[in-house]
Parts: sequence; structure tokens; C-alpha cells
Amino acid sequence: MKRYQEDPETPTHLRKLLESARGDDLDAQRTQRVAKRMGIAAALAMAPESAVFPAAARAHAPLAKTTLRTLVVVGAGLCLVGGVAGTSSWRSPGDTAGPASTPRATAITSAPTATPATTPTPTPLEPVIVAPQVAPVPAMSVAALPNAKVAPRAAHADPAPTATPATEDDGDDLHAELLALEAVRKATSEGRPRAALSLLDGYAAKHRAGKLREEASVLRIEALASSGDRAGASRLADRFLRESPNTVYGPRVRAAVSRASSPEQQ
Amino acid sequence: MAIARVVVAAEEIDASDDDSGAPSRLEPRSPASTARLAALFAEHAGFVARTLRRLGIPDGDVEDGLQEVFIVAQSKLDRIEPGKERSFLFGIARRRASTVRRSISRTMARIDRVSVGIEMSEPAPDSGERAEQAHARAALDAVLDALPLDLRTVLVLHELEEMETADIAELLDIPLGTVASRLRRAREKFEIEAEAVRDALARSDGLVNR
Repeated sequence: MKRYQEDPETPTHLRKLLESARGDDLDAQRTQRVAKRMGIAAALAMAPESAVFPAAARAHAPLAKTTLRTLVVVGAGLCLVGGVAGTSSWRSPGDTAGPASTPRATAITSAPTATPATTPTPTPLEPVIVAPQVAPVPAMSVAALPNAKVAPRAAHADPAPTATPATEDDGDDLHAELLALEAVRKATSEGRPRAALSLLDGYAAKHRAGKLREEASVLRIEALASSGDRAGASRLADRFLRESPNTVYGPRVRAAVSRASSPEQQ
Repeated sequence: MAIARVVVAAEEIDASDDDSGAPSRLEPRSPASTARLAALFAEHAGFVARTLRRLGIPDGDVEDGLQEVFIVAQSKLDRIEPGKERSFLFGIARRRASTVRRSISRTMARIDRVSVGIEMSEPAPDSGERAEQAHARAALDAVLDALPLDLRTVLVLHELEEMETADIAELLDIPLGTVASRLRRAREKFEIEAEAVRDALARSDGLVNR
């Protein structure tokens, strides 16, 4: 069905009505206000390609599809493991990042999670937000990951569940960890648990003191369960839960092991 | 008034509404959750804001509505299926808009709302274009308010957000045929209501320019 705006026979008054909605976007200032009230302004500002807080914003210009596609800030556990990690901090509206918080959520460019067809075609008068000029995040492929020996899973040393305190130079490390575990998540979601396990071996070798070891453990348990290694998943889950009895990932880990043990999985 | 309206709307959430019991804004949040929430916000805040506006939330209430949507999302981060983030957020926004619409007084006739919009948009000496834009936007609100929410939803997604019908079907989790049917009915009603508003605007212009 042809849209009104695409149909030359659309009456003028209808066209004017619909065109009046082109200014419906919330401007950057108002959007930023909301972000501040939610206490996520710092996390957004950390994103080098964040379009919410651009260095220079132009109003009334098309919102480019590619700009939208670079607006992803992937934090620890975002697309990796849901839920709340072991450490937490109180945030109140309007908080900016303090030393107790971890504004380490670095921004990376991620592949679109939706197909191009789901992206609305920008109209000419929609406001554009220009991202600051920064070096693009290098794309990483599985092949680019450091070579890791695929040791027997049962013998592999699992990382401790608690994260080490943040330091000044942790931004790049966390970024690398995020990329690595994002690849793991992607492999798992695509039904490739063995590939996910290989990637996790690479992660463990490269980030022995990584901040996302807990998340990596959870992903490993899930990958083991998906691969059919019920015994391995159960062993790792037992150890994980023993070492982190209060982990928020408890239900998720138990569910993964339970699924692996269900009759449907046999 | 903007904040009060949204708060009142929140209190009128149906018992069956899955968004009820949204957590306090002071709920502890891990760095990981903050980062994930920030990512969702960066990716989808614009779409959510436009959706709220176009589904009936007045412009002055959109900020509060946007915050409410993401607060609910924050409480359910672990339930959001990867790749379904926009659909998830849209669902929350749609329910919010529905609640706010119910709480807005309906004693004001659609035509009156257009007239009030015109009165409130006192044109500055050099902002004739802005005034006309404001009038048109107020008129659009009046027209869209006349549509049932399910018809309004598909119309704004198709005509204003310029989504394809297949994508709308996926977003709303309804059959493609249902989208097509609703869109057809929405356009019919939209055109009828637009005619009524145009006539009212013409009458108002006649009165003003006498």
C-alpha cells in the first residue's frame, strides 16, 4: 500500500497533516535531560559514537540510517548475560558517574541487530544528530581473536566469579572483553555452542583477570549445556554457585543446567 | 501539569498490565545493567519518544513518558530477548500511551482541541511558518485521537515511522493480514476525520479573518 507521502494524488491537507509530525523527535537537550534523570548520562557520554550527546548537533536534517546503526553502547552483560552482576551501586536520578560507579561501558559499534527492512526510512525533515569524529571501532572476527588452545573443558581453569577493582587503564581491556564475549553470545544465539566454547577459551587465556569473568562463566555454562555436555555444565555450575552463592545469575545458571538435563535434551 | 498527568496515568494502569509495579528510580543498578540500559536508550530513545508522541501523549509529557518506559525496561532487562529490544520497548510505550489517553479528559471535543491549539499558537510577527506548523500538528493530534488505538498504531507506524507492513506485523506480533486490514480501516477513518478537521479549521479561519 503506497504511503500518502508517496502518492502524488494525496490531497494537500492530508499531506500537510502528516508532514507536521516530522518534528516529533525529542531534541537532544530534552533527551539528555531524561538520560540524566535516569543516571545513564555518563554511560551514554562514554560512547564515542553516541548520537545522544554529539559534539555538534544539527536540527531538522535527516536522521541517517547509518548513524542509527552506530548508536550501540554495549556494556558488560548487555547482550551477553542478562541480569544484575554481583557488584552493584546505588544510582539516583541525575547522578553523574562517580568513582564508585563504573563508567567503563565503552562504546563499540555493533552489527545491526535488526534487518535493514526494520529500519524506518528517515524523512528529510527529521532532525539529525551528528556523532563526533572518532576512530571507528575495529571490527573483530573470530579469526582475529588470539589463538587459544582448545583444552578439555573439564580441565580448563575457570575464572573467579568476582571482578577485580577498576583501574585507570581498564577502558581498553574492558572494551576488548566486551568484544570477545559479544562474539561468544553471538555464537551461542546462532546455535554454535562449540564455537562459543572455543571463544571462551580465548577469552580466558587473554583476560585472566578480566572484569567479565563472571559473565564468561555463565556463558560457558550455557554453552556447555547447549553442546550436550551436561556433566560439564553441571560441574561448572556447582562450582560457580558454590563460589558465588549470592550471584544474581543463580536462577539463570540453574535453568541452563536444568534444560540440559531435561528429557527433551537427551 | 505534565508530570502530574503522567503520574496519574501510571496509577490507572490496569491490573493486568505487565508494566505495573515499575521499580523506584533509586533501585540499585550494576555497571553492567547501566551500560545495557544506556545502550538501549542510545539505540531506541528516539523511536520511543516519537511513538509516545504519535500515540497520543502530549509533547510536554513525552519526557516523562520516555523515562517511564525505560524505567520499566530497566526492571526487565533480563527478559528482553536479543533482537527484540525495539518490540519490547514499543509494547511498553504503547501501553503507556493507552493509559495516558484514558486519563485525559474527553469532554473537550476534537474540534475544540484544534481551536484551542490555534489560540495557544499565537504567531509571533515573524513565525508564520511555525504557527502554521503548530496548527497542523494540533490538527493531526485531533485527527489521530479519533482513531482507536489499534488503528492509530498501524497508521503512525506505516505513514509516519515509514515502516513496512511486514515489520509492523513483527513489531506488534500480529499477522500481516491483520496489519493490512487495520491499515485500510485506519486510512479510511483518518481521511474522514481529516476532512472534519479541515472544515473546522476553515470555519475558524473565517471567524478570525472576518
